Amino acid sequence: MNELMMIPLIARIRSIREVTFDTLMFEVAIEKDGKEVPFSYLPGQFAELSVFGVGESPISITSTCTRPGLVEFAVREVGLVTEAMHNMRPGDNMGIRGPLGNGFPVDEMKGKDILFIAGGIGLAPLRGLINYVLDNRSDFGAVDIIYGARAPNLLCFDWEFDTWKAAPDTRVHLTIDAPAAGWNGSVGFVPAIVKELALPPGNRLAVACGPPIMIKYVLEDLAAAGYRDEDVITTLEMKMKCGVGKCGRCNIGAKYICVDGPVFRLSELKTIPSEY
Amino acid sequence: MTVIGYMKRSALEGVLGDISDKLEVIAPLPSGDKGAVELRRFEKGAQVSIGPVKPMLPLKTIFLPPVEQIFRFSKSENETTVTASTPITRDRVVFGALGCDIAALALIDEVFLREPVDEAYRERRTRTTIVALACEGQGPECFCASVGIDPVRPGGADVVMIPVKDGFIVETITKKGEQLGTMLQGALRDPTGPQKKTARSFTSTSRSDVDLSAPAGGWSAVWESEAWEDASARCIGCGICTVVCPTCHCFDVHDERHGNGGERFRKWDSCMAVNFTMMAHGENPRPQHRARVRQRYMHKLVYFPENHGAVACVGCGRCAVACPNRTGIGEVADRMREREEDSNE
Ligand SMILES: Cc1cc2nc3c(=O)[nH]c(=O)nc-3n(C[C@H](O)[C@H](O)[C@H](O)COP(=O)(O)OP(=O)(O)OC[C@H]3O[C@@H](n4cnc5c(N)ncnc54)[C@H](O)[C@@H]3O)c2cc1C
Ligand code: SF4
Repeated sequence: MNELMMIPLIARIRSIREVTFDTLMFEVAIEKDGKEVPFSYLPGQFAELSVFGVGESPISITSTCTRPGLVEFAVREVGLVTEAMHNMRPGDNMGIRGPLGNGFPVDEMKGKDILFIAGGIGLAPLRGLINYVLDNRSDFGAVDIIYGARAPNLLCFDWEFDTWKAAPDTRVHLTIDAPAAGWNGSVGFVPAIVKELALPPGNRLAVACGPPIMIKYVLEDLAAAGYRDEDVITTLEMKMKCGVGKCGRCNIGAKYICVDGPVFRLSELKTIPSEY
Repeated sequence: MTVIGYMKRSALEGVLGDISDKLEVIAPLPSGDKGAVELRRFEKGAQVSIGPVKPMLPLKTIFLPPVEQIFRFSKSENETTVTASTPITRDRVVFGALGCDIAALALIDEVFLREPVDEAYRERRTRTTIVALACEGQGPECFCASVGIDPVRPGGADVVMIPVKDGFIVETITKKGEQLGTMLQGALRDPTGPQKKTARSFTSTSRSDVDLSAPAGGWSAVWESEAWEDASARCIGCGICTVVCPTCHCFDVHDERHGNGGERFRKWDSCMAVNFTMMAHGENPRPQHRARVRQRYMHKLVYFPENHGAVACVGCGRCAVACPNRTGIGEVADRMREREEDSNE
């Protein structure tokens, strides 16, 4: 358990791919005592990635456990640790502790239609779940993906869109905030597209990830459309250091985002103070 | 076998000196020349301050040091080697621990010994024998008796020393305590009848009338309580209450680089600090002073009980003594419940 509790394994960078101008995706192999070791996880879990000598940050696992091998993380440069990550090269070592957090309730999601709603880098945790669902296509019902960003070049993981569109009974609805040259998809904020599409609840679960302001409106719209709180799933982000429920900073009420989350149903969120 | 005996006060330093050949000995020692006391390593020749002064910092410092190295790393071309730090090198004994501080360890255990176990903390816990000093109450701030703690024979102690005239009655309680008992044997005499009687009737002045209970209804019943307004208006946000608190255990993690290597360490942190929850992109769920004060008291009085079944306060009173405006958790809890009663009317 040491690799969870403060002592990291090595994550060796195999390749780095540009996701947007400020976000890079790292494909890493996990090593223990100099040997590559398997790393199993669930969609929606995260890891504490570190740059030795700089610090540690929680980052969602964006690859899917249905495709064993390298593990993928998409990192947006916002501060000290993420900047240091952006200066790394293939072959370099990060530290890794994980997988951490609860992950999405994939077993309970089986048999359901799923509406994925994401904004910006919020697609990172959802990408692993979407690929999990599509890799187990017959276990799930209809799939709709609403994804938006401020501008076309800020859409993350654009190389996935054609594959997702080609999957059976799967639709991808892309949107950007304002008109842009060469863009012929939807224009408008994510919540507006959610309203416009008006997918009825029925047997459908909604899974939403994105900036807090987007989530706020999306949750309101889903409630207005008749979605039950148990059928709306989202993730919370809080500053954290240990990722294992001990450093004491990621709690909202009695829940610790690192161990009780980061994935919550809206029905659970209604039982804790709305500090997030 | 349980060991019970009488030890002369004047023998104590000698006994600790002998034990220090075998174990690391930690005891309350004078800190500066103003009568303050701190728990630190006992070296032969030192004078122990066993008496009516509470150590400034609680017993937790022995198990969760204020700053602690987690690991060292070294880098060569393409390899990084991580070496976990050794938390302690010798078995240890703490003499003169107080009931409140010992009870706090059981609360910290709830967090640090659950999966995934904090190995450094566990190693310090399992390799340390705790010798309690029966406490007669150390001033008006003490209210451990209000939160179910026995200040005379506190749960969690391996050995108890009960002050009697010119010495102590020593009683071993646990297996670990019995092992230490064998090292104490030489200094113990059979207690006399009056000594036994004094030990049996030893009592504490700790207040038992402080009510830290939360009203039914959990957090939502007190979320908008005026207690937070009042407490935050007086609070200067210094965070000394979290430093001296025996149950506060929040920490921050930092890296340092030295040449081709470096270290990661953790250090105490405080929920009273504005950047405690400040995120990289500028969002902060608790930007207001009031929200942080509420978090501190709610964690002790509502969230911790919800998760672990006990309030995270052991009644040592250090926060009220250290606080520049003397805010005590008891008054805050009273005010918190008052609000609820008001709104029920
Ligand atoms: C469960 C979870 C999943 C996340 N997934 C991703 C992801 O897939 N991609 C991505 O780019 N970002 C993700 N984040 C946000 C990311 O953790 C922060 O942007 C990052 O920690 C900032 O670190 P920094 O050192 O660059 O910034 P600094 O401002 O220098 O932060 C210093 C330290 O504070 C802590 N910290 C600061 N902001 C945050 C934050 N928002 N959340 C948690 N800890 C923080 C970290 O320990 C960080 O190292 C996630 C956060 C959480 C909680
Ligand atoms: S010691 Fe007093 S002033 Fe300082 S943070 Fe605590 S309550 Fe506020």
